[in-house]
Amino acid sequence: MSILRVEQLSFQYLQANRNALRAVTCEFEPGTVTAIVGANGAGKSTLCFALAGFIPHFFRGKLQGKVYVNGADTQQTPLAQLVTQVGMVFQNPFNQISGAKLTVSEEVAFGLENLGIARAEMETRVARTLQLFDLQHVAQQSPFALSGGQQQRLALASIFIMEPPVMILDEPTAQLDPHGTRQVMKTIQTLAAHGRTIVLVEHKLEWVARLAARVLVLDKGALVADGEPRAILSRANAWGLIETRYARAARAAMERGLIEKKELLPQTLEQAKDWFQIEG
Amino acid sequence: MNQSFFLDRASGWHALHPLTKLAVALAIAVTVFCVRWNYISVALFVFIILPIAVWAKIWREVLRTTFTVILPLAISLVLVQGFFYPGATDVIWQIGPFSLKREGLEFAFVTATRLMVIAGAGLLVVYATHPADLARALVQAGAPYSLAYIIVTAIQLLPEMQARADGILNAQQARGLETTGSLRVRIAAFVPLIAPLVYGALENVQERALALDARAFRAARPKTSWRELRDSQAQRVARVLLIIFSILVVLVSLQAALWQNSPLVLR
Repeated sequence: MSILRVEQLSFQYLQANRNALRAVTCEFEPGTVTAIVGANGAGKSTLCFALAGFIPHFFRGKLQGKVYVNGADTQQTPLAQLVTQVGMVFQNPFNQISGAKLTVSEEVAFGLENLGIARAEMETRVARTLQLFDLQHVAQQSPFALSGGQQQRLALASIFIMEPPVMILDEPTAQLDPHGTRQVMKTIQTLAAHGRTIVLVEHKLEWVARLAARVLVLDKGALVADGEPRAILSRANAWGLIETRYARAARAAMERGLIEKKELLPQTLEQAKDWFQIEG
Repeated sequence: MNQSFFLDRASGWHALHPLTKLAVALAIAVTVFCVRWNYISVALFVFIILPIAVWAKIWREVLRTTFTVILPLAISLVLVQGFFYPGATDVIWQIGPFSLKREGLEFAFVTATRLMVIAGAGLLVVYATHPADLARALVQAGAPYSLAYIIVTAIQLLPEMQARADGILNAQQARGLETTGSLRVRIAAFVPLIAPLVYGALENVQERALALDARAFRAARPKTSWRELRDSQAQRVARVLLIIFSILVVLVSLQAALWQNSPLVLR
């Protein structure tokens, strides 16, 4: 049974003159990593907001269709209840720091305080989470003193600790350097290894290819492709996406007639080694 | 870089419950405004605020911040009120057409020292209270959780905003903006600083609100706390006494306003 179900979802923000989402239907299986890709303005963040219940509880507008989280209709379920089922992490790590806590440990515990979790349980979960996200060595530092990558891992930890089975990650590496990106992506792999259902919006397609088992493509609010990452990403150009360096190299080789034309392009280093070896 | 006003020192004052510290600050603030004696501010600062600051091991920071904030205000008060206080007649210094008058200087002194006391009392609380403890204490005292959060984050984010302002200032200077020199130059530099600062802050509001909701901020259930607040019967009694004292001071002050010759009012 799917953990997230979207049925014919359309949404138009107040004062917008077109739909941000148009009749999107899809399902997400428990324990999977699904990437959502698309050009700017394609509706990726809007779909994330709908999956996390921020639409309609935070953003107002014209909504049609349904979103179900673990069988619960997001329109009928209070946001404070939904956050224990679906956690969401945003682009800017700085904005996700509560501002009310002095140390990383306290910051991680903030969500648990709001949920009324007993202190003993909180201590156990905080210690475990800091360890898991490799933040234990900065536990007593100010959240503001961390690097961008560390702050984003802190944001992930702060949601993870509330134990939602689903985590929505809206471009979590958008504002990070390559080192920070690598740190966060490793953390996402850890989340997936812990059985969380991950929905990841990401522009860096190489990471998408490495992490996701499935890719959805949004274009002007509509779901235009849904499938296995390599097959989808091989057509990245069709939706205005920036291909991975391996796909570009393969395409260049094909265009120069060095290699016979193939539909499936390599998206990761491993695939590239394989692809060039076989064809070359 | 320290991102908070809180100064973590081992002291008896730090160990007090935040509401006790707030009650002390309230009593000081009420007294300084209600007692009609020109030197009450100086007395409170020297005999109450400074000893507490020394006890809390934060006297350097309290003095530095208080005077950094108050000095420019005091200078402008002396100039404006000293020369232009309405109805003043007792001239003590004449410079061309302008005359410095005793009544104006007195008013400036009282106002500046009152502000000094208010700042000092506030700093005693802010510098010696962990923000999370302050928020929890405010909620315990009946303040809405969101209000306590706003107060605490406003205090917490000030240093962060200062750091951002410095960054913007550096960026503007790198592009040739003149930020030092005459008052006119400084005022002209203020707009390119404040506009990106305010715009940036507003731009972040939505994502901040979403991030809070994602962490069950609006959950309608009893909250717990990572930190434990310590309280005692003695402190509870002290708080009640301080509040009674503050109310009495206000009442006596009101009585004095109604009956000008009340013997209870210091002059």
